[in-house]
Amino acid sequence: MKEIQIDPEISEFLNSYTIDYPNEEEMETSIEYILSQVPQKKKRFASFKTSAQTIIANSLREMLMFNWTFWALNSVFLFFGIMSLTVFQTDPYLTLFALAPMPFIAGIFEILKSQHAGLTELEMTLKYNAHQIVSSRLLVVGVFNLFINAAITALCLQVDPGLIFSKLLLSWTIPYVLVSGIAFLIAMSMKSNMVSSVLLTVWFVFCYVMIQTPVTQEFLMQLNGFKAAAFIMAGVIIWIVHIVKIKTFNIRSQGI
Amino acid sequence: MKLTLENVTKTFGDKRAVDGVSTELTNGVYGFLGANGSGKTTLMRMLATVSTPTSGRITLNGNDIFQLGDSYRDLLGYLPQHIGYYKHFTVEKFLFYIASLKGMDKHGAKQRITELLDRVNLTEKTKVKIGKLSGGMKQRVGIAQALLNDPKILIVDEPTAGLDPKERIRFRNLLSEIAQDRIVLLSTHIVSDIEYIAKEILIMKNGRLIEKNTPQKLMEGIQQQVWKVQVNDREVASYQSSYKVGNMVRGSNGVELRIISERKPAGDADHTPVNLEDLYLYYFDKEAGA
Repeated sequence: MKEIQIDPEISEFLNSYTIDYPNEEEMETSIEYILSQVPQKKKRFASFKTSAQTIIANSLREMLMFNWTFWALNSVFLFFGIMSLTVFQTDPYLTLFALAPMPFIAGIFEILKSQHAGLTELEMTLKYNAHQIVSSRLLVVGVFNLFINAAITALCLQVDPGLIFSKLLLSWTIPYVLVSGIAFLIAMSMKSNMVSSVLLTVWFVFCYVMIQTPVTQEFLMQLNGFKAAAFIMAGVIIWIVHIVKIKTFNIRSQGI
Repeated sequence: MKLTLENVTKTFGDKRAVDGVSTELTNGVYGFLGANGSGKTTLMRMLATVSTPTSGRITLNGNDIFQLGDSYRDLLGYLPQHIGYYKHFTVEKFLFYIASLKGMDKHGAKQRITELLDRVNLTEKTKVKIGKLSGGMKQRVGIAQALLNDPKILIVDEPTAGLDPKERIRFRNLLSEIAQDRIVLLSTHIVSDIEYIAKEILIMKNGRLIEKNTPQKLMEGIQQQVWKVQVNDREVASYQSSYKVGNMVRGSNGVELRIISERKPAGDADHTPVNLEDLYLYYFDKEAGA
């Protein structure tokens, strides 16, 4: 290898330089500082588990904070369902279809009440923050809706054991997943505390028109596995989008 | 405890709401002074983790506050500029709810709520629905919720809006008492809110932090530019168009004007001790007049 010739003057100049090595304490301080800047690898599963546990634990508190009108309205829906099936002997599949998303639509007002009350900004700064609060309320309303639908399904089978269970299940699963997803999508952009009332009215009108129109009634009755799966899948996709949106709550999305 | 802002910038489209703010904050009261739109609220929101900086970093004792997540929020008390309430909740129920969201246990929350309602003079309104309270009372509920978890970092944005003078003094004294072992950040454009309690004043203009110093030092800086001059009624308009005129006191000998000017505005003008209103006028004359 060819040796590089350095000008003696430059060589002397360079040799005059000394490097002060840091002492042990200075090195420790530097390492500590650098370590604090290193992004921590997130343990995704552990983080998801903690987050889910927090949301479930907070659900009970949120449930206790729900306005009595939510419970009263749902009692009316349940009563209406029971009366329809037992006294008026309406079509159980259509009854389930119409009732399925109602508890959720009524609950949208509770889920988004921080937004309507102007409390989202404050809630974003709390230990259990805005997205955990909304998720907890969603869980309460969603599970409660599921419970109501399951109860009415059980009642249908009690009234008429000849009904097809899978068809009953499909009758409420589609509106429960898809209609509630679309309703939540509209509610997120409406930002009005009248949102539940408006959406419930729209759903009532839609169901009334559908029941009065033989073509739509027939379409609903003849929903096969593939079509039903497509509707449910569409609903699931809408909900995935919602969940991502809720997780990334920020002041701009909340219009603050 | 040290809160550090490193070149913090926040943009909304083309607009730079906060522009390269760097500073360090330790225990004590810091008053953010600025006209509307100066970037105070945007900066406060970033410090409260409501929004993230477009660039730059905010750290607490060297750790990024957004990485710290709920362990940072656990130390935080925040009163936003515009706070809403669940109107059908009673004062007590609302505070219990916020306490539970702050992770406080029921027993501790009960004690703290009783104590704070007394501090903000709302003990008699404990069972009243928030919807029935006056604006000033609602603001006091807001102050109480911010203090619930005995926060080590208290961020209050325009906290005295809607409070009567007596309540403002009460609030100032409360802040002054608690500020010894925590960081208190108070944004306002009412200078008397911070005149006596702020350890340092941060002056913001067009998104930039243009001054940060003790009130005394800031006032000393403009000492040679504050004048008092006696004029007659007819001369007032002429002075107003040529100088930054602060207080005008009408007396038997005419009108005494307080003027901020680098040059002596009149032969008989005298220097007068500076107050924070003069300082505000010095920096924000155009905005104040707008």
